Amino acid sequence: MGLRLTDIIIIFSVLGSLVVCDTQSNNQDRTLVLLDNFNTKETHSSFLKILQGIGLSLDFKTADDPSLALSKYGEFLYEHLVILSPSVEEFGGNINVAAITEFIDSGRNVLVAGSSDIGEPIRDLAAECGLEMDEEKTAVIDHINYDKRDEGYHTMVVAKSKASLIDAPVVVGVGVNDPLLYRGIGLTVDADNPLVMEILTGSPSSFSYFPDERVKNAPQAIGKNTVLIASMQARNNARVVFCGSLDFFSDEFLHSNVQVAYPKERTYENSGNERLAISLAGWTFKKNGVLRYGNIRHHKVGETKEAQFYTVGDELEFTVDIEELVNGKWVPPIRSDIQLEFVRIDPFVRVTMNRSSNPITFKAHFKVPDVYGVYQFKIDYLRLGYTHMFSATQVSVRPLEHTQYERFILSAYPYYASAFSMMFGVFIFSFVFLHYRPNDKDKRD
Amino acid sequence: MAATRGICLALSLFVICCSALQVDVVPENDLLQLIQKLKAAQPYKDLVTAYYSVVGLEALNEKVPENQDVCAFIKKSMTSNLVNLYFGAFIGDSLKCNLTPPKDAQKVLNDVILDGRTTFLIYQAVGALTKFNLKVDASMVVKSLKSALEKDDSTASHSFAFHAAAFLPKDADIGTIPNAIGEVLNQADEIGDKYLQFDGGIRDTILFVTGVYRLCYARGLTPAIDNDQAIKLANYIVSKRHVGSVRNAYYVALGLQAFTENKFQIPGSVVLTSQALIRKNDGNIVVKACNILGKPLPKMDVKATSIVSTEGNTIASDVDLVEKSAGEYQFDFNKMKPERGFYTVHFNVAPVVEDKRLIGLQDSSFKVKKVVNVAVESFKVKTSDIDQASVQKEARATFPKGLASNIQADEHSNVAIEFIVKDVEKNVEIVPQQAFLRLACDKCNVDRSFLFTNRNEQLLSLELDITELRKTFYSQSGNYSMDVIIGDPTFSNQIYWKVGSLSLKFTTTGAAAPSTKIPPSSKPEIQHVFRVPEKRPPELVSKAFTLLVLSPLVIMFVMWNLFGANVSNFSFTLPNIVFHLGVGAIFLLYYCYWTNLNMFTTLKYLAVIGGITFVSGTSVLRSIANDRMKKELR
Repeated sequence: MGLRLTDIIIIFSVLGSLVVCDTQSNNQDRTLVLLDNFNTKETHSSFLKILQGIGLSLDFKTADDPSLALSKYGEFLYEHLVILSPSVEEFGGNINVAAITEFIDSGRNVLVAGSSDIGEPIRDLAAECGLEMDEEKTAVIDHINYDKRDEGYHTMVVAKSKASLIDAPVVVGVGVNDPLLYRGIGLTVDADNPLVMEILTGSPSSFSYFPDERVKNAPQAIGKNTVLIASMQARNNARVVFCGSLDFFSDEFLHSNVQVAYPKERTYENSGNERLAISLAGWTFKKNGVLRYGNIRHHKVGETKEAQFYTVGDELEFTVDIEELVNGKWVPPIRSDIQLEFVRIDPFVRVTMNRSSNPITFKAHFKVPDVYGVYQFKIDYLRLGYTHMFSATQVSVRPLEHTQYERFILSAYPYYASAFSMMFGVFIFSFVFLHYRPNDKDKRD
Repeated sequence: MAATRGICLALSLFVICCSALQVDVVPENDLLQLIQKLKAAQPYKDLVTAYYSVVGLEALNEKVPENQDVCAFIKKSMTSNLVNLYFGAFIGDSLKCNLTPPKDAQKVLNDVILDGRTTFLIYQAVGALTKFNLKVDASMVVKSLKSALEKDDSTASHSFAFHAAAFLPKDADIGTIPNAIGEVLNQADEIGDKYLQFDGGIRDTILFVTGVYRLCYARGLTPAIDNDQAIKLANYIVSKRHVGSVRNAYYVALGLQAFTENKFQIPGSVVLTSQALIRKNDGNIVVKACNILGKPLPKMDVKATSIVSTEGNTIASDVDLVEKSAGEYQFDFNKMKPERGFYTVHFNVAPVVEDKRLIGLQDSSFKVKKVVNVAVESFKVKTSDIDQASVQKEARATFPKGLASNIQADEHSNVAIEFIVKDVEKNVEIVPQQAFLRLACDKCNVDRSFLFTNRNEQLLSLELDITELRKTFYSQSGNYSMDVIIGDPTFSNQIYWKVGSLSLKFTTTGAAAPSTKIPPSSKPEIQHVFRVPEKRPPELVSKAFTLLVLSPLVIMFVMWNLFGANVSNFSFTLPNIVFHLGVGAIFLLYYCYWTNLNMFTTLKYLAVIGGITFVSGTSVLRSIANDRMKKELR
């Protein structure tokens, strides 16, 4: 049996996608790390090791290096960008806020750390991403939740992981129970922006202001509105994470204990910073919380071949393979609340898909609505911390053919009976009428 | 003019910054961890690990745990090759094992020196020979070193040459080997004005430092490392104290030893061992003069040269500190009667007996903070009607108790809150950095904070315009908890006071719900509702009517019977049979059309059957007509 044309096309497209995947994996983990100076490489060595541990290959540059470039000849040189240079006043080379925005628009990921010594470009970049960083020289202050080693102004803030951390295990991991150390600038976000997520917020007593000044004007952020770590997942699934504290990722904070100073002194063995940093890095650089789908099939129940069209009232079965990236490996998705919609302008059917015996295969089963037209199978799955998974497959639904209607309706039996009795009657009557011989008696009359 | 002054200022700042190069000290915990790392290498399975652990511990003046007979272990693994001899000799020397070298050791080691491939191998051979008290041919060593250096002039190569040369007797001519010190040092990279390191990282940096000091000590030379460079090198080593492997722990231990036990430069630091917090009854400031391992330095004269507040007022100068314990010095800050606030204390530290080796001690300063205990007083909540401002209701609360009752307010009322914050000890009024009122309604998920201002003097007040609050609170009437938050860096007690609750009533009901972002979740499932088929009559009716419809046929037969219908004229001729079968077949075809045929096939069949029936029909009718004609004619 020879190969059909469609088979050949499929084989070629599979080969093609393999090639694409291969080049991607080579390029995938190229990461540019921008530093204020190379000292940061020493003070943040553990965090950089975490980044290498999740498979990134790091390329270190100072933020004012004149040879900086994110792209060359229209192609991006890096997949990820880590900006650990809060105080940069102007990026070197070809990098500027517009270039970074373009980088994000191409679906690539950025992690930015700020500090009280914040430069204009980083603030502009934050604004581009729907976040606002407070002014230079301000800091997040919390006179109630601070660490004992604070330098006096209560800017070494302790954030309680339970109360302040977002409830999204895919982003922040599950094991962050210890308090978090933070020293840096405060962020505010627009509560209505659906793309922005507040990962870590301050306590009710925290605020963002100049540490050595009395609060005379309303601070930009007070209480829970003081955001310490925020993220923006763009519509193209590019992830941008802003942490107002460069120290948050430092070796010092990562490996430190936490000495809560107030109201009672209490020491926690470890800070939660390391665990959160690992989870955040994995999430930001798309090693976690990424969904992909493929192999969409649909057919009538009891058949295996994909139908060209459906007729109203058909029972149909839809299957799709979905996988989730967990720590850089594709595994069956953890959540099973993925829904399928059957849409003709409005959704006519919406069902939660069931996992079949193969854990990556999801199945939905429903009856085609009795309204004909052009429909789409739609999967529009958006959950906190996951990439947006969207799929639409078009299919047409036809009305019944004339032979497909109900044929033997009990209520219509009088009509059938009258028709057939008429036919029989005509047959018999015509026979009798044609071959009737009148009686001789009659004839005589 | 202004520009010149600016430059001068910048220059002077620069000078200050560099003269005050701070020496970092290994914290006690980290030192213990480092020692633990070296000790945890036991039981030794190979000579290399044993060497790193034993020599590293020796460098930190720590005893090797006696869980394992290390000497026996070395004796067992001692064979006549360079690496084993070298490790064996050093461990043996360190643990005083009294090893006797294998007989051919001298020859094996001399061959290595003669071969002179790299300075590293020469160093190992010379080291082993020296530790075994065997004869070293100095001139041969120097010659080999020189030729090896010509082949490889990297930092590490030079460092091993320094180490090897340090083993040679004082009278041996080592030529120009020490001259390279300055040249090699020039290749070191400075990081952030604080650290100095070589490209090879921790190993190269420490080999260089130890090599230089050993060589200079052995030869009586002055190392060509200036004090700032020494401090930066020491800072680099201290910064590398978190080690992952025994090998790195060994190097760090060696580096720390080099900067604590040498004859040339010992970086020292003054560290604050007490808290930088001055309370009413605990105002002692304790400082420690120590080396980079945190070990106290010899007796010092410690003086607080000046104590300056943030406003720039010097509240005291030249205060002598008393020795509290070895290396620790203290003074009572409260004696200066400081106000609350931040102070910078400048220290001058000088050894009692002059010691030129001590560097980095000259100037150091610390920021300390005087804190006070505070309390809230005269807390009042005044509510009044907008139209009749004179009629006022006043509620009072005494800290830390809350208000006795709920405060009621609607859009026609004004709510004003005022209080003062007092320093409890001095009984003076204070304006804190942070004075917020937090109104939160758990039920309606809103939470806003407002600022207290001090319009007149120390009285902190806040007026709530309820009409304005309507927008802020999305017209959500209900009970709002009132929390007063008072904080300041210079308070020893921060106040988070749950005062009571405020019951707000807005005229418009909460139409617009507060905008809280709801995380995307599952949407409700939709099941399509199919059109319900029309109601049909009951079965009995259908059946009854079916019978009714069939009744004419029956009546026809009955009547025929009555009137005597017959088919006597029928004759078995072909057209007759074909015609009637044809008519029957047409009706049968109709039935098939109803059940399973489509129109096109039906028409096809009908054309055939119909044609035949038509032809036979005409012939039948003609014969009947002929018959009748004949009869009538008759």
